[in-house]
Amino acid sequence: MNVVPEARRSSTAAITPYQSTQPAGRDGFPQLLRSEWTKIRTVRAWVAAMIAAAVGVGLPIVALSATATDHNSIPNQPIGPGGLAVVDSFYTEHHPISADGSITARVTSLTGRVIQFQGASAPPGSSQPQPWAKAGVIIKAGTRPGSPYAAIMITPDHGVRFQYDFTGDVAGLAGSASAQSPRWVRLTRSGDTITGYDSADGAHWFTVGSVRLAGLPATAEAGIFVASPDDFISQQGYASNDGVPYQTRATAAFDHIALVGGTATAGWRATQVGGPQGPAPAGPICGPGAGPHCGKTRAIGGQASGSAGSSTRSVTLSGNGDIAPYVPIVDPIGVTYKGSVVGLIVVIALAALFITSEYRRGLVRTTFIASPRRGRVLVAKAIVIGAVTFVAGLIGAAIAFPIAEHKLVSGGWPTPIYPVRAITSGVGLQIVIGTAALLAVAAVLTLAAGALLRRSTGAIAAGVLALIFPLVLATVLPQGPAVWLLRLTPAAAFGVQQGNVHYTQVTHACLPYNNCYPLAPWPGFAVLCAWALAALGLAIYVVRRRDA
Amino acid sequence: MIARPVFPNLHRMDAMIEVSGLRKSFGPTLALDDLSFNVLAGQVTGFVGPNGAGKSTTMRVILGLDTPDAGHALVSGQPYRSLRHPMNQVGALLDAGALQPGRTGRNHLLWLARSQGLSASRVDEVIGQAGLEKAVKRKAGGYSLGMRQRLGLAAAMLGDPPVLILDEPFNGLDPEGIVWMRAHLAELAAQGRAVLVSSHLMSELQDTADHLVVIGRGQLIADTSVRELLAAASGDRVRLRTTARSEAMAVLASAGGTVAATERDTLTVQGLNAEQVIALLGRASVPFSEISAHRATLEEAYMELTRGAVDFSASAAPEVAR
Repeated sequence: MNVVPEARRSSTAAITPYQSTQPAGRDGFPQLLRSEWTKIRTVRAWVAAMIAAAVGVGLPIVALSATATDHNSIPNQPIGPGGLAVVDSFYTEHHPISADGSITARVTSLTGRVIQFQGASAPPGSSQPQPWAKAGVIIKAGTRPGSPYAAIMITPDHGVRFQYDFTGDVAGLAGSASAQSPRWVRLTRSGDTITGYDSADGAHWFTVGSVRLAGLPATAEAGIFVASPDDFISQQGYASNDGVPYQTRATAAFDHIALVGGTATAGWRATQVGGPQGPAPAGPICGPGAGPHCGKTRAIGGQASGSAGSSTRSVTLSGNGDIAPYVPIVDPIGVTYKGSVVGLIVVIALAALFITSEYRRGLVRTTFIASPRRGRVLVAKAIVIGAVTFVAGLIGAAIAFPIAEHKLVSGGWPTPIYPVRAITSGVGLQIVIGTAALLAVAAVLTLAAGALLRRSTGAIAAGVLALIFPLVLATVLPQGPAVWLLRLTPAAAFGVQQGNVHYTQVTHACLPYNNCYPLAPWPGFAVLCAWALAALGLAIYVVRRRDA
Repeated sequence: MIARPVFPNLHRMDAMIEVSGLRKSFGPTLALDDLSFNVLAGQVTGFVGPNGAGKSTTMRVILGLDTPDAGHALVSGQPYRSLRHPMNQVGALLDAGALQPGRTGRNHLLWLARSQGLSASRVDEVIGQAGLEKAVKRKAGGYSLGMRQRLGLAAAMLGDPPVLILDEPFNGLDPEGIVWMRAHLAELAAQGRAVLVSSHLMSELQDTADHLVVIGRGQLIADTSVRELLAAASGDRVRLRTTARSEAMAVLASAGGTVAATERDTLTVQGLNAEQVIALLGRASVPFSEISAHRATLEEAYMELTRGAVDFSASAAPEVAR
């Protein structure tokens, strides 16, 4: 339909369209970022919210740290290399070794069971060895608990491991040891360097790992050993949160024990490291009520003769304990950082309003007229709100960190079990940067929800529902659903606020109630990132198609 | 100085906005029904229709905010959403109330300018042109509607665009503001810009618009120049005040006039000019106290134009809540 009358064409055709003399602008992504930054900094209430977010992160952390006092008496824990609190308790038959030598043994069986527990019935699997029970050969600076060592060992569930100085852990051959499928293990010492090997047949050897041990004396101790860590029945329910420990004991059969480079002066000795010295009395298997170092039975004895050489004698050792870092159950600094949810609520509200206030007033049309590429607008908004909340969170979390550590020490939390960490330490950076990053990505998630829902109440509810609701639920629900909540929901990211370092090779009671997360800190954070990215992607998809 | 881009693919050299076959419905309501028109450079095009006729929807489609079900709208020959630095090409004022109440007027203009890489000095220029130097330092939440309209026009002018799209810019203006806005729009058109101004009141566009696009219930009713419309509508009508209404009606009707009683003692006569009416009444000795030749207003022309085409008063579509 031609609706333009003929007369009009002739009367107006002479007009030349207006041409501006003003320089043309640029509408690239940096301009968009600057525009969104201008938006957020020019609303006084929002600037106040940024400050409130920083205060809301920092102040509750300080307040919580000041009120957290430790009423438990924790026995003095041995101190390992680097000041680390460690568990160093195992049964060994050992012999001095010179600067160059080796120790080899074959393990033909590794069994174990629960030996002491509270309550009427034994924990499930009580006739099975503890998954991280260990039997193998060790070279250690001495028998003092906490002294440097390297060891290669068989475990029931985790194959052969080469471990050193409590935190080092390298996997070797898979499978446990049995008469049909024995495992050979060997450590060689060359000065300070210890190398671990394993073999299935004693003929073909594989290098598992090698480590240089600082502080290894010219004459160290080499031996065979057995340990079996305490285990836990972790209980978390509607009314109770508990990790009930119980003792386990492992028994291993060794033969083909070969020591090279043994010093002539001393012979083989049996030692309960981390307990009374000397061979333990042979006796019945420990039961309820037995002492802490029960179960050190030497079934087949006999001192190895000579300073070097191999023996076909068969030795069966039993023992409990562990050689590992000490991981406390409670996490005072991590729990203290849960105070940052006050700041998180402010951040969720700010992120929601940053976009829903535009929808509420129709301002979003002005935005999309100025920048018709709507996906880029949402990305720019996400970057700006993410950056702003990251900085606010970082300021709050960083200022609070040294204060909180100081307050916890005055509150009676003993070092080095609860080490006073610098903000620049691995855990310090993880908690402080992690908290700020959590706020930033939570803001992006809420922003995306705001773009989808276009209502501030809905967006704020979405942010709270995604992050804070599962966090609260996880501390009151039974352990099963609680753990799944912290695996799947964005609240998995609160794992960055774990002050205790969790090692895969250390058995510990991991309860959400005690700020222990099923996922490691950064993988947990990645769960939140995945949610935020998915939500932002959906928001971009919807906003581009929807009428503005 | 960066040269303006040239738009080679225009159907007409000066058609800055082309609307072609637009159709859009919101649920069961057909908001736009095969709507087509052009907006030319160098004139103010009034976009007229009652509330709910589809004016705002059309403007949102032109500005790439709403997607039509059929048809297309081009600005400078391109779909709006593919324009580079759009504020240099189109200035728009859709809803003067769309402001963050806690942000000052100047900062509102500033974030808009930043999105296009425009300078803060340009912001101050448009503030000066709109006469808002004092107001822009205050939070926008306290602005009167008239101030918001001026701020909105200032925002539209940031990129010094050749095309302006203004939705109901006269709303809420005081008489002084209306005079200012009219003069401003006329000046913008005189500079060669295409100015599309919507209104639900034809009277607001009197003496302002050069061209009119009239729509009702999403359909085009008229696309005509103001001069043509007035010429067509202002047939010789005469207003007559007389106490002898029935006699006058009889005399004038028998002489071939179309007579309507408009008030208690007033008649409107069509088909006869004032001299003929005076002669006829004098010959028949019918008394009258006042006679005036009536010049049609744009409003009346509009009513006449739309009478029968669309019954606005009875069945105007409800304003689409967006």
